[in-house]
Amino acid sequence: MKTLLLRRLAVSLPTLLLVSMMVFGLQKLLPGDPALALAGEEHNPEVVEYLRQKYRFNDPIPVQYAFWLKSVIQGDFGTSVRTRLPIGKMLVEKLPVTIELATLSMLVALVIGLPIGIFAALWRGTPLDYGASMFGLAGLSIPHFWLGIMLILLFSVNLGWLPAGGFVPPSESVGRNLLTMLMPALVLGTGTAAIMMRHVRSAMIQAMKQDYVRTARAKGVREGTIVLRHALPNALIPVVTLGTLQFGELLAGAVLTEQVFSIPGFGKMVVDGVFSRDYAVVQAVVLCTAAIFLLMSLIADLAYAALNPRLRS
Amino acid sequence: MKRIGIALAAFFTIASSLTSANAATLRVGLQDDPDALDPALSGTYTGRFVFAALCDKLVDISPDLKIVPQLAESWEWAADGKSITFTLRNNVTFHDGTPFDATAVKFNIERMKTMPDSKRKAELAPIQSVEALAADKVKFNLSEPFVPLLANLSDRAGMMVSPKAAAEKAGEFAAAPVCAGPYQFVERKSRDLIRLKKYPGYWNAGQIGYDEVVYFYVPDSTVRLSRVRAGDLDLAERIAPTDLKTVRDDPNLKLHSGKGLAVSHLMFNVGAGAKADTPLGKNPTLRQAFELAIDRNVINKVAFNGEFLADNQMIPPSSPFYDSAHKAPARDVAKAKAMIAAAGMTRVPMELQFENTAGDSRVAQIIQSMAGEAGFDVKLLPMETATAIERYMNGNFEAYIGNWSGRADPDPTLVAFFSCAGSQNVNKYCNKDLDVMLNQARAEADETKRRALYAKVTDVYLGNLSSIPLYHPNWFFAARKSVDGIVMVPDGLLRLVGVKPAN
Repeated sequence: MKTLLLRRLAVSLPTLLLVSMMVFGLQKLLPGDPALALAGEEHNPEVVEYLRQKYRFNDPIPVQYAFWLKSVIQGDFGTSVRTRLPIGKMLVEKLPVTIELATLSMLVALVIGLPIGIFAALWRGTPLDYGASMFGLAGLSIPHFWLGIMLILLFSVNLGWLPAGGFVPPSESVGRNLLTMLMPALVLGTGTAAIMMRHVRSAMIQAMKQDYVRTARAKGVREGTIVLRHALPNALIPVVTLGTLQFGELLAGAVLTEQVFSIPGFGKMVVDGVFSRDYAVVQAVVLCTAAIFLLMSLIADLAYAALNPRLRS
Repeated sequence: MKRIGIALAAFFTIASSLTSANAATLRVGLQDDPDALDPALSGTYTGRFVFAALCDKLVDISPDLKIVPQLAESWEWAADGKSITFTLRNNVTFHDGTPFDATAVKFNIERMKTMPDSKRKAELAPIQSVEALAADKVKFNLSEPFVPLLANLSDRAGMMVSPKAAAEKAGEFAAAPVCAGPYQFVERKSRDLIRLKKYPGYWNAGQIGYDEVVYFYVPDSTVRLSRVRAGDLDLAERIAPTDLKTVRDDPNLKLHSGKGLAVSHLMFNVGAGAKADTPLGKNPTLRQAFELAIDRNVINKVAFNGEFLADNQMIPPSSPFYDSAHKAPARDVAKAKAMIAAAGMTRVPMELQFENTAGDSRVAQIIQSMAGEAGFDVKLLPMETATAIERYMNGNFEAYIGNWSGRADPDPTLVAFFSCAGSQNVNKYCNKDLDVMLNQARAEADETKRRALYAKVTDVYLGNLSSIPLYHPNWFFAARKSVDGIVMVPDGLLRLVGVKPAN
């Protein structure tokens, strides 16, 4: 277990570095001069040139990268070129928001996806199974943006039950925090729930065909015990991996949901950063997201090993 | 089942009580996240929107585009037009308690002129020096008579920041600005919200109706409106023309609309590099044919539900300098075809570049279809914003849909686009006679004479058509009925003096 951990960590750091290099290089390939994008409507050439020098836009890309890396290692992510706000502070503000949204969405996905997947597998080929498949299809194909606006129209505009968006930190009010997060988590969670449901269903079908299930049945073990004690733990192994990786996806892929519900998370930060050519912001967010992703896949591996004794050796 | 029902009812009762906020807070939805909150550095409309509450200016503009006092109570031009003396309001303090006086004004103007990345340099360029004559008297010495200066001072160039805070915080000023407006800075969460609270020492504090104002960044206009309808915001700016019916039909909302200063125009590359070498770039007659091929009213109707103002001039009709003698020509496809034939062509190819926003994309498609009927083969080239700006600034386009926010005075707009050295003259149109007229107009203190000069300017640029103005956008705010006292000004900013909760 320890070797596995160390081995994975040894791979993670260079991966992170590689990701940062690629992102740095790729965003420099984007057309559009950030100094021009910044200079405002009148584009005073003097100001444009000053900005280019100040933010090293004129330097060769490897030099820019080296300067960036050096300050990041020293814990300084720089300032946003557009707003002049420190990026480190922005990360500290946004990260908890995104993690909360991802966690709640994962919770929604588990609460919906797990039971439906299990029942669909047990009652395979019945109307319940078809219903579940339809749910899966809908969950995957309904765009988050559309679902979000529909929920806002129903629950906020027409019924007036829930706030239509925004973010209230839990430190201010836990109740209002959860209320504002309810719809976004539901929207983001349905897609994951659909994926989860399909995986649980097929894993469960596989597990129920195994010899140990047949043996248990032959021994006269009750069906409920077979499902819960014998089949489910084995069916959950791939689901755990999926769940942890899906969590990384949620962190990275919440862009549209954050946009609809005006949630100040990572997704919105990176999109706005790209559009305003605010390189340092994009760079910092991508690096953070990559780090979380690597961490999640590390957890997935460890969980996999913990659940499957055959992998521990 | 009954219990679940009761529990749900209780939950939603608590929920709705939690969602209704304190009545003394005004919650405003903004379309963009403002950039740096320092008037010297800011370059966005939404930045100005927030500054309207945060930073008072020397002068302001009224709804009919007249210059009115704000931090300066009055002003007087020297007879030769080469200096102007302001009498400042007494008993004004910045949010950190620093007194506002002539020295503070001197500091601010010099700061905006010398900061290396200041975006106000061009606006203040004619000011050569600033003299503090007395605590409440300050004189600006100009290099040449420059009447539009007052209009420039009615925007960010005239905003006063605390000299103490600006000196102490230097590089970090934009993260916690200190000004002399009705509300003072509390916090900013980037891409989320900006919170301001009432400044008790404000010189006009009696007219301030809310204890707190919070600006939320809500980029999608439909979502922004939904949040006002849900009561989660009190006001949202820039409502899409297509959503106006919803606002008008909602009994809890009030639509506030006002004429704008902005203009959207079709700019032709007439002299910048290889892309100017096109039939339309070289031949003004073809550009006139192009103008005849399109119907501005159709663009307005189809793209903006008829809620904007179709017009053929860079200066909006709300300006006293609008030239009503130059009416927009009616669409005349036959005449356009005849003009193309006279130029020895049957089909005229053209590439139209624009930002891929919903509005510009619709406008481009409508233009493509109408111009096509007359014989122009318009190829559409949508671009993402930062790329579009770069290509535009480098003159890398054949034709471009430009969106200019406009100014209170005609000078900055007309000089920027039509003078040979204008900052927006990226299509390299140059006419020495026009330059002379523009220079005369900016030095002319007499409004009637100035109006006559701008009429001549209009005549020239509408003859050459290096740019075809299409429409002026109007401003639309959706506010809850509970917000009282909103006055629309053509710059589209929400001024909070006089705005208060109804009853």
